Amino acid sequence: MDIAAEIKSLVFIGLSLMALLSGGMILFFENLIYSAVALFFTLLGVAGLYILLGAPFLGMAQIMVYAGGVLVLIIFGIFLTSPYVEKELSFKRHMSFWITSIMGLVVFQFLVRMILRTPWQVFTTENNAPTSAKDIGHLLLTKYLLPFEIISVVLLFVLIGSVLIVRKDLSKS
Amino acid sequence: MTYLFCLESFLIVSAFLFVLGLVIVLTKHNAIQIIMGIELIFNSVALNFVTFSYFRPQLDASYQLSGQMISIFVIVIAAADTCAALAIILSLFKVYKTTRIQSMNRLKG
Repeated sequence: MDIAAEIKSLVFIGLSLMALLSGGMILFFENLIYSAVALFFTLLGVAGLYILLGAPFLGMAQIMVYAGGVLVLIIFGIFLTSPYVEKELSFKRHMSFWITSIMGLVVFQFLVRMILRTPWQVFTTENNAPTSAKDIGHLLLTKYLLPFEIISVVLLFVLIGSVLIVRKDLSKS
Repeated sequence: MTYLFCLESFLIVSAFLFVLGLVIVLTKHNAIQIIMGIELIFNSVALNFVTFSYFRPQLDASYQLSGQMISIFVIVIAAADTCAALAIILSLFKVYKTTRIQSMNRLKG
């Protein structure tokens, strides 16, 4: 085992702990702003994992689109709706929360057993170069041209549709 | 220290993110926190794609780019999804004056 693999393992542990712990905080916080900040750190950790996996373009896209766009949108939503914070936790809600968490842990251990028992055929990836934005751009305009165009139409429809949903009804006033 | 930079550990992180998002979607009472859970699920899916693009069965580099390309599309779809969901929540908030999903139980007004 060389020193680079050790460093990669350490960085992996740090990033995944950051992602998973702050993801758990979303579950335990009742305050929406706290949850949004925890979600920010989760997204940052996942972006770091992307960069670790040789996808720096994707990591940067994750930071820009999620941390810069989606999270700001969510915070806008929190501010535009009234600050609903659950004051008291009733016993019943508490019970359902813990029961659902335990069910989630059961699903998780099922997934982990499935992952560990599957004989994955992995090619050795010692010299896996990070992909460049040039390759991705080239592929977007050749092989993935159709999904690229479809997704632009989807974004246009979402833009028009969300404006249509939240607009004020001008015919009444 | 054991060598942790392998396929299984990334898949386990992704599985944990997925389960976390699932539990958030199932237990939270606020619609905006449910959106956050859905974001976590999207993230775990994209992380799985990138993981399999790195630890791939063939050496061919086009496999690596294919996985990342699907992750880019996942990110775009997730952004569009959040936008539409927040629009729906804002218009529901106009009617119900709350984002608590237990209160949204009337069909008309």
